[in-house]
Amino acid sequence: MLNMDESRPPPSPVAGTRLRLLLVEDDSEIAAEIAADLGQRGYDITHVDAGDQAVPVAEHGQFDLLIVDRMLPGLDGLSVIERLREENIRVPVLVLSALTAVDERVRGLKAGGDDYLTKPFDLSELAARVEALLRRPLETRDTLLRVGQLTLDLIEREAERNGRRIELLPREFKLLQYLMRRPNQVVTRAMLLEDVWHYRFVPQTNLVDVHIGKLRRKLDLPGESTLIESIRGTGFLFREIE
Amino acid sequence: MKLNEAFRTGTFRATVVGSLFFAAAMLLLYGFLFWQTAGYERARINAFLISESKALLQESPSQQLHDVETRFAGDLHRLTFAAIFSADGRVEGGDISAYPPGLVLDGAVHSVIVMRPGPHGPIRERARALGSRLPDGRLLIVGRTEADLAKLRAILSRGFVLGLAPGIALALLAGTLASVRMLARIATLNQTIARIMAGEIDARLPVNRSRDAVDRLALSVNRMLDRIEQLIHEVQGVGDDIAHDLRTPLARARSRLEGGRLRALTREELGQVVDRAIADLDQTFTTITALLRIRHIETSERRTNFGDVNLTALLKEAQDLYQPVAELRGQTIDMRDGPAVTVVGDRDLLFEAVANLIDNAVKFSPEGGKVMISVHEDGKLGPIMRIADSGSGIKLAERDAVLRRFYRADPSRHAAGTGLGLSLVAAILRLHDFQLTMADADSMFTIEIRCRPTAGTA
Repeated sequence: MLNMDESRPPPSPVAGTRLRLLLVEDDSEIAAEIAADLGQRGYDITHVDAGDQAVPVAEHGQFDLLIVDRMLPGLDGLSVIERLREENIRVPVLVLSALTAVDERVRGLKAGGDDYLTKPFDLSELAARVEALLRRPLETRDTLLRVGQLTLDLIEREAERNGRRIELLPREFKLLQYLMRRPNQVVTRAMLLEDVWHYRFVPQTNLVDVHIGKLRRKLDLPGESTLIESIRGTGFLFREIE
Repeated sequence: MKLNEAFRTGTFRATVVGSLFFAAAMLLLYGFLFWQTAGYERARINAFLISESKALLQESPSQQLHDVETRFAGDLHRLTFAAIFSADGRVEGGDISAYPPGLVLDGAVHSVIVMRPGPHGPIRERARALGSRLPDGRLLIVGRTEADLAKLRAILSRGFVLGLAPGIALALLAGTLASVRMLARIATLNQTIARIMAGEIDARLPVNRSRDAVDRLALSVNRMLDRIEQLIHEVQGVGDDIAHDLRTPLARARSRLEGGRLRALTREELGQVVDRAIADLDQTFTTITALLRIRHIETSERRTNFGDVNLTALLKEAQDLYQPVAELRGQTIDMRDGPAVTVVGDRDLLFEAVANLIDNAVKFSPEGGKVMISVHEDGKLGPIMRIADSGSGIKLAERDAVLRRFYRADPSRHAAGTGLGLSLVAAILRLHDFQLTMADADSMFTIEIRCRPTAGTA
């Protein structure tokens, strides 16, 4: 299921051009699916299928993001990243891997990867991760985070919507803060588990949905439009509503 | 079996070494015997010579000569002898032909060489002799040959040789036989082992009734084989379970896709079918991932991430995480307050284990039920965590099984999840050397985790 409005590419730094991604993946079928999906989402994809080709291509092309499979012919994915980092190429890298162990993830991130996605994955999960890496989360020097109708007090750890104060439990506050720093951006369940709660396991119960549901009931009064939208099959999106 | 093979066995070598020791011991024994008997015999001769000499000295010169000529020279065995020499060394009477060279007249018995007349001329003999000067200046010599000693030595030597040779021969024969027998047993053992290696896993090593060292070894090996066989059967069973649990969602996905291809009329309908098939495939991936994770935890000694873990805080966090889930089902999760309890462990893994247990507790408690969690220090025994729920629990007969690698208690077959939750918990606890027990108490099903006491608190 592919809905174009689920996730829009972030605006390119150069107006009128599309963001450029380099995909390094030796499985041609998976590469084709990824390229088709991300292409449809508005990215410009270059694909190479061997590690040793990836380094010169990445050096000379002006890419906004690299998607690198871990196990590649020629030069393995982690070595590609290490070599690029040695040459001071700071472009964000998303590592793809069939290796599921927690240690492998740590190794991937240590080598210079910015995120690690285990195969098999939903294409929408990949798209959400790509977007998260390309967009910088909202930073504010202010102690208040304001997105649309909602204001979050980072000191008092409470929210306000249309003049109504909303008390938050610590877990809810963290969740909301993460979502509000990424307005209009799809955030997956796995991203929330990993980034907000720092859990490395997949719970048997749909914990994230339950917590989001509870948070949503606090934020939305009957009649108000919902701030946290569910994106079917993917995750959630904090909508900036004026 | 070749004989030279038997000669190379340890048993045979031990026999040879044993025989050498035996021969040395015999030699020592015979040497001692000879030394003792010879000493005794010499002392006896000495005493005899001294008393004879004394008796002769008290006689008159003519009587002396007579006695020397008859009593001594008349000895049929030619063992004793006596002679009287004139002051200038000529023989006056007796049965030695010359004054024995080197015989000193000091009243003591000496060992000398004497020349005695024989049928074919004088004979050299080793003898013990005592010389005395008579009042008139002549010399009296009494002596006795050492022929008895020589005979004794000959008898002892013959006894030594005759006793030793058959002894060693018997020992070597026994050693060879034992080696051959041992080799035959080893050959049987090897044949059996070859059969087991060829796949006949239910074959066992033969055990004699002797209960010797080899038998005890064979018994141990057989016990090991029993255990291995049991494990193989378990693994085979697990393999079947895995295959079945992976086949089921795969088969569903396949039939859904086929049905969708045949019957879906719109793109929307086809999309729904595909979505459900993807969910089925995802379930197989979840199962595979969980299995890999269990194997990873079981095989890697991931103690690198071990550190102090505050169990009280950890349980509080898990309670906080599952509270909303419980609320949706009208349940409560209560945690008894208490002082902070700390163990050494991998915080992420322990949290995962606790989360799994609370997940189960919530899932299997009825609507409106309750879950109770607690942790306390049990003296020197270390901390105890308890997670209790008002659910149906796990049947006694199934309690061990649910902790195995791949087992799903029947009631949960229809609940969500891979059925590997408890197996994963068990793997994590094994890594920590923590004990898990299950009990029913006060109409609550309780899982109790006994942690290892940390150094310092014990």
